[in-house]
Amino acid sequence: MGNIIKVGIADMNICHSPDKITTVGLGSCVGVVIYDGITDIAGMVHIMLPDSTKINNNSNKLKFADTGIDALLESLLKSGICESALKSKIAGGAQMFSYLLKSSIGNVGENNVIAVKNKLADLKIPIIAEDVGKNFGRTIIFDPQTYELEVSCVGKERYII
Amino acid sequence: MDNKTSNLSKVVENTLAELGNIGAGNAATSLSVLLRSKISMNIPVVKMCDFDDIEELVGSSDSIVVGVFSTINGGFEAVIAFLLTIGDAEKLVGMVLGEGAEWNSEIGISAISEIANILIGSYVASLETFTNTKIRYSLPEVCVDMAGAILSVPYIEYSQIGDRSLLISSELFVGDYKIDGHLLLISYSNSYDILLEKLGIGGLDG
Repeated sequence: MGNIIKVGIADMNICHSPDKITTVGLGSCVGVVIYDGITDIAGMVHIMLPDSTKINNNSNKLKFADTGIDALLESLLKSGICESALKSKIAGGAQMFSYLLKSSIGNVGENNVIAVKNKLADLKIPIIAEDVGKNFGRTIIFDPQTYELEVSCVGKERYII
Repeated sequence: MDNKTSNLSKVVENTLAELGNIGAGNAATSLSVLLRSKISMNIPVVKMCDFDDIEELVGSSDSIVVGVFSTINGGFEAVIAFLLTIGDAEKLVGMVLGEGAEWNSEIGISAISEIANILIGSYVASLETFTNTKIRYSLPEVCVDMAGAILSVPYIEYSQIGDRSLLISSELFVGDYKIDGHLLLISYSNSYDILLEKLGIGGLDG
């Protein structure tokens, strides 16, 4: 049995099987997993906001979809992931409250998902599976051996995407 | 990160603790009348914190909580949140609606929401007196989910402006039922400067 590597909010990490990688309590945040289906390497980033260019306070690259995914990819390539076979799975981007904090940037969850998809499309990394939107939080665990992403939510059976 | 937001001077910290004390104290009194039960509270915790600190208050980020949130605006903006564990939500609903009442039924959630409304209303009323400002607050919204998922909502909103939030946290204990509820006020850098100004302690936080 390997360890379970944690990824905090606005944080990223890389894992090698038999370790797994997890992030807990994704609300409107999005968890992005990048792997290659060949090596035993996978990486995960937990992004909070869609776009680093729209906000002055953008020193933490891992907060944002655009810069966070770039940082994860850079780190994965250094670890020897197979660049030509990159794939991704994503989860999160919920709208936790229906009317509270309707912010200047609208539905943060939805915007995060759009930004993540755009970024992955730019990088030509296909999304193999996704579980996004709706109105509940998610905890995810990725196994780089089976490429399964396990999603758990409150009051629901765990499922695999 | 600038120094100003990483630490609070003793004067500022004490004033904000007193603000939390009076706010939560008023809220506790209202709750005590409603429930006909003794309510006690601790001394509020005041700190500039990042997300991990907020999460720690309620255990781990995957612990399931009932959260009732309201946004307030009186020149400064903040979120007031009332957080309960599922077990405590059950006890509280039992107290109000009678034993065996289901906390997660429509009427149970409505009772929790109403209790939170009273708590938040009293908190806001004392904030108004303290700051001599008219404060508007939104209708509270209930959310039951993982603590991390819920608490990240105000954090994300405020993280567009700064990395750290001001947190004033009070704990209420309801009589013999040992119900432990967290009443939080979360604000962020720009707004919290305005709040300090209104309290007459602006500029003392260097």
